[in-house]
Amino acid sequence: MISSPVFALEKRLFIFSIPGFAIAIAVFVLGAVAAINGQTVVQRSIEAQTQFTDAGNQTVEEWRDALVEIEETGAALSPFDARPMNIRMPAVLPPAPLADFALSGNDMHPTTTTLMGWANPADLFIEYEFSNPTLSSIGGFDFTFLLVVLTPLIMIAASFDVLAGDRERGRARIIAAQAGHVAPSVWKRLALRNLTIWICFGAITAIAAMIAPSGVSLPVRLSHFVVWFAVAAIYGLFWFALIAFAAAYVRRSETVAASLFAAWAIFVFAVPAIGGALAEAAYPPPSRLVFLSEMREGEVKAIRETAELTAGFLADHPEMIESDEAVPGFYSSNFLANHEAAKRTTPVLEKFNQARQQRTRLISKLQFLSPSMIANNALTTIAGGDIARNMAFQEQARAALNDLFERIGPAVVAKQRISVAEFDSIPSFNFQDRSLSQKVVSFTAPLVFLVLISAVLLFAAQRRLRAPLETLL
Amino acid sequence: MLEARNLTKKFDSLTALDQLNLTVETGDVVCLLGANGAGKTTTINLFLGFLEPSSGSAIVDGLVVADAPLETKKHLAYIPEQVALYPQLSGVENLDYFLRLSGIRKSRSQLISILSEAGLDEEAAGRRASSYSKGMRQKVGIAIALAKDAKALLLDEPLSGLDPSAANALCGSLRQLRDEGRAILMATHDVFRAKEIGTRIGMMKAGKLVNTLTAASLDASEIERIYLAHMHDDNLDDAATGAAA
Amino acid sequence: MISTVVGKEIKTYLRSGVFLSLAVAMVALAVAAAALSTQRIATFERERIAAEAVDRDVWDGQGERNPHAAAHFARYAFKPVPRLAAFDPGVTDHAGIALWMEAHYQNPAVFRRAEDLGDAGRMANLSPAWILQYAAPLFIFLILFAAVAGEREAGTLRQMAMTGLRPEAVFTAKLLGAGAGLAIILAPALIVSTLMTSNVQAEPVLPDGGARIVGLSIIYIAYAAAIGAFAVGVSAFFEEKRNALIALVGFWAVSFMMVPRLAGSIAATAYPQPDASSLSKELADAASAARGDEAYQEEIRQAVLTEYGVETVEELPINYGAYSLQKSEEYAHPLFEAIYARLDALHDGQERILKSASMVSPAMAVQKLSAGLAGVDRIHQQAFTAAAEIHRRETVKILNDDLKLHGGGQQNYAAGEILWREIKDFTYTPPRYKDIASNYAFSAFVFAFYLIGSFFFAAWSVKRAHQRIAS
Repeated sequence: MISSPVFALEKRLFIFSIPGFAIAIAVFVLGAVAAINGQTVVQRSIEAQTQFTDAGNQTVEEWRDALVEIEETGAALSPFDARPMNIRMPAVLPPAPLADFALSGNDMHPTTTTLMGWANPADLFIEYEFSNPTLSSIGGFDFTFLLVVLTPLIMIAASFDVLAGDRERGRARIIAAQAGHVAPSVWKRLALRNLTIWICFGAITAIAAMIAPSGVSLPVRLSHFVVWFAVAAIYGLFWFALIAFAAAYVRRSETVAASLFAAWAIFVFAVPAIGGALAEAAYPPPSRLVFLSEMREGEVKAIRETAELTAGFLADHPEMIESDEAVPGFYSSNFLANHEAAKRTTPVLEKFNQARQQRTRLISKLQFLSPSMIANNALTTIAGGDIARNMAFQEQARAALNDLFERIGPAVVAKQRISVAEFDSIPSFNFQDRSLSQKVVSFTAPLVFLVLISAVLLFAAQRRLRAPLETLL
Repeated sequence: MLEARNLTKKFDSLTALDQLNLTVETGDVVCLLGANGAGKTTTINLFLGFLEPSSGSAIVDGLVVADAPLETKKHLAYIPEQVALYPQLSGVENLDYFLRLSGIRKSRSQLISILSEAGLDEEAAGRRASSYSKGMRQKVGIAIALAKDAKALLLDEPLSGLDPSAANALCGSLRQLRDEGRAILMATHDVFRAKEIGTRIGMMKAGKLVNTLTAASLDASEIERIYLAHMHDDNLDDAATGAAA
Repeated sequence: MISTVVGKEIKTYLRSGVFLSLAVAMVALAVAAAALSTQRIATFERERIAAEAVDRDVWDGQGERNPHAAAHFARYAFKPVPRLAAFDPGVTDHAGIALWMEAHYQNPAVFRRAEDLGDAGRMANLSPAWILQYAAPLFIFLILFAAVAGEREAGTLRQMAMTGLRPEAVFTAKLLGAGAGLAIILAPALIVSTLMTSNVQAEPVLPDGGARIVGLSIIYIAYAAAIGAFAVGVSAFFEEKRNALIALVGFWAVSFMMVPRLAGSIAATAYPQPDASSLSKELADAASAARGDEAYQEEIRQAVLTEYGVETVEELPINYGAYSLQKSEEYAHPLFEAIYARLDALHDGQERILKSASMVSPAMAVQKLSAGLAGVDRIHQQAFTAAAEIHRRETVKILNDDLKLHGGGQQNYAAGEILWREIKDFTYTPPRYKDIASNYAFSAFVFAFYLIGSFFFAAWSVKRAHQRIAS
């Protein structure tokens, strides 16, 4: 194909022409912006998490040192020292190996928390809502956005008139007269134009993938990138097939362009917007306010039933406790109050999560209506910017908190300290991400569907291009 | 009715029309023959006011087009090679639209009657223009000229691409308009049709009017011979002019 | 003459399958958006009112407690959603809706609905304003790309010029024709969505709702006119309608889709948001700052001893602990103000970049004006959090004062429902638009520039097309 006259023509008309250069520069510039932006955000997040973890670990170390000293000397300097209620374990959600490729899904969610006896699983994640709502509502500029939203537009602009342009100017008749058929030339021209775009896109994403943010393993990152790019290519195949279909069936070039732009607007915006709104109407996201109300009712009941009034007050102001005996007492009563509140609020939290899962399931069905939704979900998931990953972090952190409760609970209630050995057996928090193969399995069905749709479109386009010339021309 | 006085049009270094002097009187049909780029369409565009002359003037009914572009258009009808109609509108609606833009209002029955006079029957007149053949579109163009009661008609290769029957019908309409006393300036490549309906035939080459023949004095083959001689040999220009005279 | 062209334009639109299908799609989209948006906002408001009622009940029914412990349990301020949010939700989904008015802490507003919308929530947001800001321009471009280029390509522009129609008349007629065509599409969509969104079952929140509706109507009519004029201008600029279409859709993709995201990313890089955990720590440090300031502790101790004319704390007729707590509270106020002022300045900086970007993206200017008029932008969010902070300070003071006055010498003093009932519900009235209008001056200027500029461009472009009619 490379030595064919079509390639020579396309070199002049597109690849080494002003439009070709403009498209290549646009892809590289936008790709570079996406890469720099992604790397900056992820690097900043890694630094903040490192600081948070270091500070947390230092506190844990100090606490342990105090416990070791108490075990060794048998005496504490202060009644507050090395109390199990004051264990504060940092828990962080590390950026995914390819996090910089899909930023926008995760920037609203917490990625750090502190596990401690004082925390309630229901409000473990607090005080993280500081970001500018205006920026959050706009969303980030990353490779996933570039691919899902902008790349189809570039593909359409580059190749919508490969047949209609020739047909309008009468060249298609000459080609048919010379070559016997227009199909091979149309396919080659479409392939060359879109390959040019995809080579540029592949190059810039591959370069970005080679630069791993600190703490991210390059081989792991590259393996994720290979899968990410394969999904991207399937999405590209769909648009290639749709462009070929429109080019084959629609006669006038402006109608081809208008139809493809309309399809783009429908798949990229209209279907996700309508689908999202319908899913919200069918399965309203569980109300946070109802959740809050139920949680507070549970908390106040727990406080009234388990905590003594003074202890409740002192819990907020331990500096006002004067006697050594009072310290384990108020820890104990507050742990019980908190534990009771946790027991009461856990069903509320579960109900909340169940409703969210139902809604996610509906949206995962609706994605079959829009290839852009399929691609967005799959690419975001592989890159690790999906909300499910953050939800998994929250669930694991809550489970770790419950585990901490189990480990320190008896000692706290018994108004005692735990041993160094018991402390050392408490595992530090490590987020367990889904494996790449698990992620791939989760979106195999929609991707197979996308491939099938593409095949049908390609077949239909080929049939049309192979139709008798009186129909085609 | 139509007069070109030293009419010149230059596009940068290219002289598209060079010192044209031409008069088309009432009842006169002047056909301009010439190769592509000879200046025929430029001449028509200058009379229509679509182009500003570089020097000289195009005059319609005594008015200089550049000075009174709107007033002169009232006397003109224009039929291009492809009469442009709105495909979503019917023939009657298209006619009504273009007449209204010229400030003329006619009833539907009058419009149908005009279209019929131009050769388009009532059924066709009520159909959308998207289904019209080229000949039918030309008929709507003629109807616009008829309805406007234009004193002069400017036709830019109106016969190009018409089948013999449609071309014949158009020529019939033009003869009728000529006989009614309208001045007609027509650019064409068709020597035989030019001989058939023209009173005079102008031959243009590289922006210049190189010869003017009286159509009645020569037969078609003679006109074609002179035309080809002009096109192929510069030296023949003077001889051919002399022969015609 | 102009009316003839306008009549023809309308007739042509009504006979165009593309136009009619786009019109139907547009109206259907607007109706769906209005219906779903209205339902959402009504639900939000129902939930807020219910949550407020529960909060009151829980507060009143918390039993006998130490007033300062109650101040820690505290109450919530819930943000009312204006009816106009059904038309333009602005940052409604991305801003916190509840604020815990806890003692010692100035918390951020929490519970952002976008957190629960899932991954699909980010690609697009169906609301009447979104349709008018983003989808309508694309529809307008798809309808008007051939307005002049199509006539030129078909030769009818030449035919029109032949009739003596002046370029100004062509420009006016084309604009009016386009306006009439757009009105056919947009008027039903606007009327239906306005009727639906104005019938939201919710309390009026904005004190100047009527004036804001007028403002929104003016903005969107002017926006449609500007977009229409621009489309006519581009259509007249290009020789071929195909190129006009590519140019318009390209402009839409860049200006409406890409620039906002790019600008957002540049803003976030230029003014990086501090990490949530470090901000949280700063707030915690501010809350306990007074405790670590021994000089201050001594100062307030001396002040109260002097005030009551006694020499030791034990002699005081008041609860010194409560007095000290209130003083610590007041000590933290300027510290909180500084933290949030810094954060606000940072967000202002981010939005300055967005404002600058609106110079190449008219939709961003309209978005800013629209969200401001609907009362759902960051400025209104700030007004809500500021009001909640004032309420928090008043509430905590009432509770601390009660403990101070009645808890003297009692280790186990507990207040009851009588005191709880003294704490008023949080009520919030958003600012009047005229009081905050200066925040929108730049966007209004950019928008006006676009409006005037697009008309001048269209007039120039149509005149140019007319002059080139011979080619």
